[in-house]
Amino acid sequence: MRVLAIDSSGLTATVAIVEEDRTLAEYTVDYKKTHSQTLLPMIDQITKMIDLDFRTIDAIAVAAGPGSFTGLRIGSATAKGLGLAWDKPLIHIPTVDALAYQVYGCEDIICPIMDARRNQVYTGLYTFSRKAGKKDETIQIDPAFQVIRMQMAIGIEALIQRLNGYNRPVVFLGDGVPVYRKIIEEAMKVPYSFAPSYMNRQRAAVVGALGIRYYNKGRFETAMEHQPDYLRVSQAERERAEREKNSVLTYRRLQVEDAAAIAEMERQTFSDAWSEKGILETIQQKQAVCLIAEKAGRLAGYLLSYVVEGEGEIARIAVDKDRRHQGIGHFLMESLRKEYQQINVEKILLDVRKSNQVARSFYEKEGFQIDGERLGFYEAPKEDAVLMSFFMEK
Amino acid sequence: MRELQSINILAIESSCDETAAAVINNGRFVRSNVISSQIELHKLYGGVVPEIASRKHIEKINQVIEEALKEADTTLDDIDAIGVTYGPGLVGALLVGVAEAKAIAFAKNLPLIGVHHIEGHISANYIEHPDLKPPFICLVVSGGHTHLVRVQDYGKYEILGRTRDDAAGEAYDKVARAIGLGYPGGPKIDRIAKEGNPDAIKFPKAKIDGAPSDFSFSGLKSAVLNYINGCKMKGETYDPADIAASFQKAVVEVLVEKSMNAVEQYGIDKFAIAGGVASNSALREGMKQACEEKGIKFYYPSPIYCTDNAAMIGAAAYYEYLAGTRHGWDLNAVPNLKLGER
Repeated sequence: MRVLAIDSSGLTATVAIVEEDRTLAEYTVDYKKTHSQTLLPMIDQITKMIDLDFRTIDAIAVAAGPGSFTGLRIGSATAKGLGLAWDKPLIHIPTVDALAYQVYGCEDIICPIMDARRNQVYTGLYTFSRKAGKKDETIQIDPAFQVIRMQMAIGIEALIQRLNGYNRPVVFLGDGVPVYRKIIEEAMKVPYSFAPSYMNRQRAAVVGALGIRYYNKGRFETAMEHQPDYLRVSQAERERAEREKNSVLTYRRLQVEDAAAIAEMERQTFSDAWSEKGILETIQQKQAVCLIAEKAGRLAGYLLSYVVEGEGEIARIAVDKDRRHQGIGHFLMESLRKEYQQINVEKILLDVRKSNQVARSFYEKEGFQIDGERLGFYEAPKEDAVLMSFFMEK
Repeated sequence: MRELQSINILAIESSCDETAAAVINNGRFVRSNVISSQIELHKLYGGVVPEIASRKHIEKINQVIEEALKEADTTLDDIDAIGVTYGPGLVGALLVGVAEAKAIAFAKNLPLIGVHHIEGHISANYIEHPDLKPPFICLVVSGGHTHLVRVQDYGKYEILGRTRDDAAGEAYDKVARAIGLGYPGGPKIDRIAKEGNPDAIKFPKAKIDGAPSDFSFSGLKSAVLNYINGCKMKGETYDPADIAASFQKAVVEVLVEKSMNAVEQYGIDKFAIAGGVASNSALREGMKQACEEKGIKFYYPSPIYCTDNAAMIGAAAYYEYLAGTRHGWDLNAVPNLKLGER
């Protein structure tokens, strides 16, 4: 079998054509990080040099992460384009696995580290076991590649602490070595070494060799399915998740400038959505009690109601479609009851589409009881209404 | 046997938050046009997040290309060249399309043609108007660009004017946010403006000394924000629909005026609009009227060709193909690529 291998996950750009028992060609450059300009010309050159007939390529192996986000995508998009054009499968190789695999036969802990910024490294812990790879009734061995700890993003100090705990010699390699060398030298308590230059960076020949092993185990995918494994969410997602986690639900009275956002949510929620104008008119009415719930500065839901002679009527209630099942509907109801308490509302009324089981069971849970039905009450589409009410506690 | 003059181009576009691929015949006939939009995702952040956009592109790109080939009922074996947007745009997003396009072209030994995103937008006008040929004047308005361009010939562009600060689409986004409409602002303001009075508030029009064809929208944007603040401080209510309508009127008036001046100055009887904001109904209406008054032909693409799409990239790539433009395997994404740069 013949595999085209690509690794542009780090500072090194490397491509290779690999078979089971030999590397036909490999081109590795650790110079400037201009992978988008160099990667395909490198593939072009090695394929020309060995007069490669593209039809003899069986699969494309790609170091699929972790690594530089952009670098990974350049490698992945290249592999995906080749796979699409040649109709060949892709083999997704974890970057750190390939880094470790080149320290063949090493029974110490192999610890590749890639600089992941923010004082972290992408790493994993590996070893080769000769015992496990012993062939029956011969003296030949085939050291088994073992993953002690799958690749991960971790703080350099935490990694060293973990390594000290194994009480086994460690071999470091990867572009994280020059960055964290001092910290390693100061904090390591078990014997350690740094792998020499010919095996301390990404090598596509290794990605290809691992690729063939993976392929033979059935571990490949289509070019369409393939995407990089970043090991990390984007900064924007991380910050948003944090904001969401740390923020509490709050409510306030609806104001004029909320109208357009409410109208937008109306359109996303209801088939008979109210327009901006309609909402503005509602807000400005004296008897209206309109609330919005916010989380992390974003509209989470709203409730529009009128109060006439001690009876409140809910006209609209909606929750952001991305934030359902988070108790926002209940929060709005509770907030409404709080507001109503202050203006001595005794009873809350509402109507709901008969077929809207989700809403009906929500109101039931909120303590509403069915009063009756009104035939053909709704338009677009025409439907009966179920009338419900709730008595406020005095 | 295939006609000698029938050129099929597979085009790829990934400069911002749309992953798109299309198959175009002879630069004008759209055999397929597939767009995968990420807009819902970016709404959560109030704008396009580059890293998220790039991740989405790599996730979707093969699917989009395969759909485009399937929809065109063709295979790569019948494709004559690969066209791809290589700038301007978000670098990480561009790189996905560029790397993918290069790999496909390399794998199939096809010519590779890098296309300028804005030249693509301009070329979108060729798709539905077989009679449109250069020279013509084109106003390109989108979320990131406001350019007044003289199209001298296919692939030959002269920038007459550009925005000094915000793009028109950016001003739309910011005003939309201020009146609670959220992202993206263009279509939302356009819609709510229909319920408002365009003469309710008088917003200023910016003039730039010594550069009559240049635009400035940040002053207008500030005027809108000041107006809203003023209302709030005085405890007055304001009508977002009126603000939207009045703001939109001010934008359209400036765009129309400068465009018509350019048409007159160069004595060209054809005028086109392009870019995302070109599907704005008020802009279309204003331009249509102005062109009718002047007796010149007005061209605009359907909304589907106004938004970022790959069909327009295929249209532009075709004329580059004819002109002999070929890019090498070292083609890079150029986030600030200049219009007309070769």
